[in-house]
Amino acid sequence: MNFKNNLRRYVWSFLPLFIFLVTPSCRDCDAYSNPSSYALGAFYDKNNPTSAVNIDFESINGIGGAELSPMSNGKILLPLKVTERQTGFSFITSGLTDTTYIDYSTTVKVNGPDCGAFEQFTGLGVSRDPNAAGQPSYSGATGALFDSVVVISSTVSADTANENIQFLIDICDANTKTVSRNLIVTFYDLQTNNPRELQFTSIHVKGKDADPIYTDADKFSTIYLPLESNTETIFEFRIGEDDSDPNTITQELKVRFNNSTVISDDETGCIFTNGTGSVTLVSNNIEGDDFIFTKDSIFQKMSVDRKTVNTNPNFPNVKLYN
Amino acid sequence: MLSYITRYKIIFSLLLSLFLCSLVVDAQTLDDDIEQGETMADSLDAEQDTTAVEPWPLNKKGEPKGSGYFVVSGIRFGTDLRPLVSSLSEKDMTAYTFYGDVMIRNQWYVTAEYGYMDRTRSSVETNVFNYQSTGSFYRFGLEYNLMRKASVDSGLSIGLKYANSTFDQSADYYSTGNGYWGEGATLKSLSEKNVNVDWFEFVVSLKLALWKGLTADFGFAYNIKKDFPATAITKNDIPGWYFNKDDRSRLNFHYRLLYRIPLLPLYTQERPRRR
Repeated sequence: MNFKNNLRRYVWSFLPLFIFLVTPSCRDCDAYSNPSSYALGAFYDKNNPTSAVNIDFESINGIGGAELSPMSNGKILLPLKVTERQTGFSFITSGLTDTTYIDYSTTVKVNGPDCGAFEQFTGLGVSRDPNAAGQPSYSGATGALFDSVVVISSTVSADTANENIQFLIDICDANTKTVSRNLIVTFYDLQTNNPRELQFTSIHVKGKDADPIYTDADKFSTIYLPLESNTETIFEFRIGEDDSDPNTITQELKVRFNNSTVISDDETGCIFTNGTGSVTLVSNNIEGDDFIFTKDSIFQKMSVDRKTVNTNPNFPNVKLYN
Repeated sequence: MLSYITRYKIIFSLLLSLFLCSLVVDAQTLDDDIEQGETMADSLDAEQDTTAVEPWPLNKKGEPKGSGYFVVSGIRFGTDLRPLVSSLSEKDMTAYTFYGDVMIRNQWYVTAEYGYMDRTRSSVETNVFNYQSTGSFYRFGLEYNLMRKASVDSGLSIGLKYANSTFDQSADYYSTGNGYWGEGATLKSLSEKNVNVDWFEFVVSLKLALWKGLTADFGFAYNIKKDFPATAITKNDIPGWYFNKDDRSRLNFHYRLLYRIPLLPLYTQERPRRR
C-alpha cells in the first residue's frame, strides 16, 4: 500500500517535467514578417493625412540607380542598399524635384530552423542632407515638393500593407486657393538690362482686339497676361491705332505650356498638381526659350526666364527687351 | 550503444526519470522495512509524510525557541532537471544549473542559482541557418513558505528574484541583397560578445519531499524583462531565460531536485533573562 502511494506520488511529481518536454518552443514562421530590403513609401496630403495622393511623377530614382515604378496603389517600394547604411532617392515631377536620404542599420532576425535567419533593416531615419544623421521626420525646404517626410515604421518587412515612410505634400485647398494662369511678363531696357515701363495702344489675345488686356492708359514694367486654352496662347502687342495704319507696329508673343505641372505656390507654399509649366516661346514655328528680332520690331529680344506660371512678379516668365 | 542512446534520447531520459523514481521508491521501501522491523507502525502512520517536522524547540506561540532573531533551519543544494533533460533530448544543447538556498525558520528561503547554457540551432536540410548562444546566468532572491509548519522538506512558496544573464551569440544568416543595386543574395555571419540582459521573476513553487532530505521543487516563474538592450542578432536563446519570443514576459518552468544538508538545523542558545 505504501509502495503504491509513493509510486503514484513520484510519478505525479514528474508530470510537470513531461508537460514541459512535449511543449514546443519555436518562433512562428510568418512570411509577412520576414525581412525585406525594400522600404515602403506612400504619398499623402498633409491637410488630409488619411487620403493618399496620386502624384504623376516624371521619375523616381534611387540616386545612381534606374527609374522606379510606383505600385498600382500609388505607393512605392524603395530599394535599400545592403552594403551601405544610407540610400538616397530623388523624386521628379514636371515642376518640382525633391530628394530624401534614408539612413538605417541592419540586424539579424532569427526565425528558427524552419524559417532561417535573415538580415533585417531597422532604425530607419530620413533627412534632406546626406551628411546629416537620419531622423524620425524632417520638414521640407520652402518650395520643395514634400512638406515633411515621416518614418512610420522603422523596421522593414515583406509586408507591403504597412508603410515605412510617408511623404506628406501640402496640397492647396481648392476652396481658398486656385492656381494662377497669368503669364508674368516684364519689360527690360535692351541697353541697360534694367526693367522699364512701356505703354502700348493695346495688348490683347490674338483675335480679341476688341477686348484688350491693357490699353494706352496703362504703363507698367510688369504685366500679367491670362493664358487661354491648355497648350498655347498668342498675345499681340500693338503700337498704333489699327493694322490699316502704316505706322502701326504689332508684334506677337506666342507661348506654349501645359496645365499639368506640379508647382509650389509662391505665396503659401502649398502644392498645385495642375499648375501651368513648361513655358516656351514659339516664333516662325520654331519653339525655344530665346529669340532675337530685327531692330524695327517692338521687342528685339524675347526670353523665357521661369518655366512655371506662379504669382511672384520678381520672377517673370518672359522677359521682353526693347 | 552510444548511438542507440543518442537516437532515443527522449525515451532514454524518460526511462532515466522513472529509474530515478524507482530508486527513490526502493530506498523509501527499504527504509520503511527497517522501521517495520524495529517497531510495528500502524497503517495510518505509514501513509503520513515521513519528512514531517523534526524535533524543534518551540515556545508557547509555536515559534522556534532561541534568540528569536535568526534561526537557520536548513541549507539545500540541487540542480534543475529541465536543462539537464533538454541537454539529453535535444541536439547541440548543453545546459546545467547549480542551486542553493538557506532556509530561515523554514519560512524564508534565500535562494541563489548559477547556470550555463551552450545551445546551437541549425537547419540540417537547408544548411543556411545556424544560431549559437553560449553563456551563463545567475539569479537570486527570496521565497516565502506558505506551509512552514508542515515540514522542512515540503512546502509551497512564493517569491521574487532577480536574474542576470551574460552570453555570446552568433548566427549564419541569409542576406537577400537588392537586385536594384546589383547586390546579390549572400550568406553572412555575425557574432556578438557579452550580451547582458536581466529580468525579474515572480515564483510559485511547490516543494515535495521525496526521501530523507531529498526534495522535488517544481513550479513556475513569471519572468518580466528588466533590461533587454537591442542587439544586432535576435536574442533567440538566453541562458536562464531560455527561448526568447520577443514578448515582454515569459512563463518559465523549473523542476529541481534539492538535497538538504543533514547537519542543520542550527539552534541558537536561549538568551539569559534580565532581572
